[in-house]
Amino acid sequence: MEVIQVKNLVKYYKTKKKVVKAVDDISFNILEGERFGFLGPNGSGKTTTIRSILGLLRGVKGEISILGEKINPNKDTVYRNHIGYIPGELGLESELNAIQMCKYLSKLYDISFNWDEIKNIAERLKLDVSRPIQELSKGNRQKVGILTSLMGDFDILILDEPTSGLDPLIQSEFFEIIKERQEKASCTVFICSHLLSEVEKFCNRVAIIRNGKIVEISKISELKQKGLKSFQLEFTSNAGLMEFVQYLESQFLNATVKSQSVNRIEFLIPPEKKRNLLHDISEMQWAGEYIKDFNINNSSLEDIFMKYYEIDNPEEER
Amino acid sequence: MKLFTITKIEIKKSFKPVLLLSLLMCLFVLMIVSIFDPELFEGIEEMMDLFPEAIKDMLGSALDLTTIGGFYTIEFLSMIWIWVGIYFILKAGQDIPATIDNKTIDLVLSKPLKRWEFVLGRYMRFVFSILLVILFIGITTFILFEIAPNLQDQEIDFSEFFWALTWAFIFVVSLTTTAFFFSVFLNRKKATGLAFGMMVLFFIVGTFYSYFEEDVQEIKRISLFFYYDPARILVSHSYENVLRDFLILSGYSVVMVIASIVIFNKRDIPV
Ligand SMILES: Nc1ncnc2c1ncn2[C@@H]1O[C@H](COP(=O)(O)OP(=O)(O)O)[C@@H](O)[C@H]1O
Ligand SMILES: [Mg+2]
Repeated sequence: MEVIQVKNLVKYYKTKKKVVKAVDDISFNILEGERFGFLGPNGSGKTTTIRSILGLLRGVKGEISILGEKINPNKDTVYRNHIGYIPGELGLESELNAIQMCKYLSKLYDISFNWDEIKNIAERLKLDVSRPIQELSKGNRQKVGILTSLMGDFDILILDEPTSGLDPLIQSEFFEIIKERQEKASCTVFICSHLLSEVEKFCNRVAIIRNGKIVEISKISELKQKGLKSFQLEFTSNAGLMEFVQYLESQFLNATVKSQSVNRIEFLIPPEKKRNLLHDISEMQWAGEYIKDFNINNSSLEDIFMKYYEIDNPEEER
Repeated sequence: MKLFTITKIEIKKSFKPVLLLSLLMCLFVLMIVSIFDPELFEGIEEMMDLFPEAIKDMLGSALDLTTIGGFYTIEFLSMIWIWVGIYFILKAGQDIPATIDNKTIDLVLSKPLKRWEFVLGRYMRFVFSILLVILFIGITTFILFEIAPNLQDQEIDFSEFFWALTWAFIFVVSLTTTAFFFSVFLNRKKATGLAFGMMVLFFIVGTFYSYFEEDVQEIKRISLFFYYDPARILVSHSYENVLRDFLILSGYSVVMVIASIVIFNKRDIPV
């Protein structure tokens, strides 16, 4: 079953000067029990998507269904009972401490306050629950946000950059906690992040969003297969390299050069071009000599992802 | 109901400053009662005649300092917008913007809480807080009237004071509602600034309208101050138009709160 269905979601912010197309016609489905990643650079529209779903924004166009039921986020509120949420910009009552904050929200949300569970999570995250929130560092505040989001029962957990400010050890502990929770309560996780490593390790499926549009949705494993091939070549002379570069530019229009020195070059090409290139490299001579050395790798997910990022800022690339 | 949960939580949070304000006001009432001396002001009326009209208008129509009713009105009730009003205008103008600035609103509104419950819940906290302050003032006033030795030969009609204080309550609520209204769509600075501006404008229009040109004098009707005149009860002992003014002030508050809810319901909660 689809737990979250989003169809043709559009949200523009109208400021005095201009219209920001923060989310521009995106559609995706998240299946039950899935760990779905929403990956994109800062300002790509992740938070806007989440806050549209939660009804915090107005003037949102498109269809949203939660747990199979079509909802109107401007009117309906009951569906939010099924959602646990960590805001991207976390705001807490600074004069309270973590326990008081949890109690406060449990009263407001009308959910039970399970002290044992909270204490357990707080201990695992190494959070001092008795210190007022205003005295806590950013990372420790984030832990309080995690605590509050895990209170009560929910079918969907929406996490907007949940690990910001956490150190690596706590980050992995956090993902452990979420996984355990998921096994216990079979909830669905929708996580937003600008960090690939996070999503790569934790999610089954990922959508890459850029400038308010989804440019790719696939399983992590498929994404890796689709991955580009990375070639590292070494020539005997600079002239050889230059000749090769000309050849590359004329024959493989979609190659991306990652680095280049006097006689070395590293570049990425789509996997289906591999055979052709391999053939030419081994058969042809460059400035009168065969190639000195070469190496082919599958590019990391990082490379694939960077490619999406780069299209984003073509100017900065140069 | 969620609405009252919010109200309760918010009242608890702001209980100390409200209590402090109440105590200050009680001390103030104590001071007024203890310095009241009818003979002291025997000659004041002749002296007041020397004052410019404008000053007299500002002090209200009740220049009768020789009765406790007049004294209480001039020193306290006619200035209630300064003593109590400013505090609540400041608070109400910042209330919702603060939750947006410190981003706690995301946690509150991401759960099944309707926007109108949120707005009304936070608004009711002000109504109850103002009620509390006025209640403190009223109780102190009545107790002091009973026991103060210098008031024993005064003829005091308690019901007049009751209605005058009720009037003050409704009036302060209407001022607070104005600030609250601006705060649902403006940031703190703009909301409090505009609310103060409006209050000063209302004050000038409601107090000095008689100096305006004849044909623009009707402008007084836009001022909330025009509908608040406790001297009418405490000095002139008249209830003429008092009910009308009660209804206008409360009606204004109700309309403004509904408008606040409608406007807030339409807006984005920015990050
Ligand atoms: N209240 C707002 N008014 C105008 N523009 C906004 C507002 N909030 C966000 N934006 C813009 O919308 C775009 C998407 O923002 P956001 O959804 O927060 O991105 P992300 O969460 O992926 O970093 C950004 O360009 C941002 O500047
Ligand atoms: Mg974000």
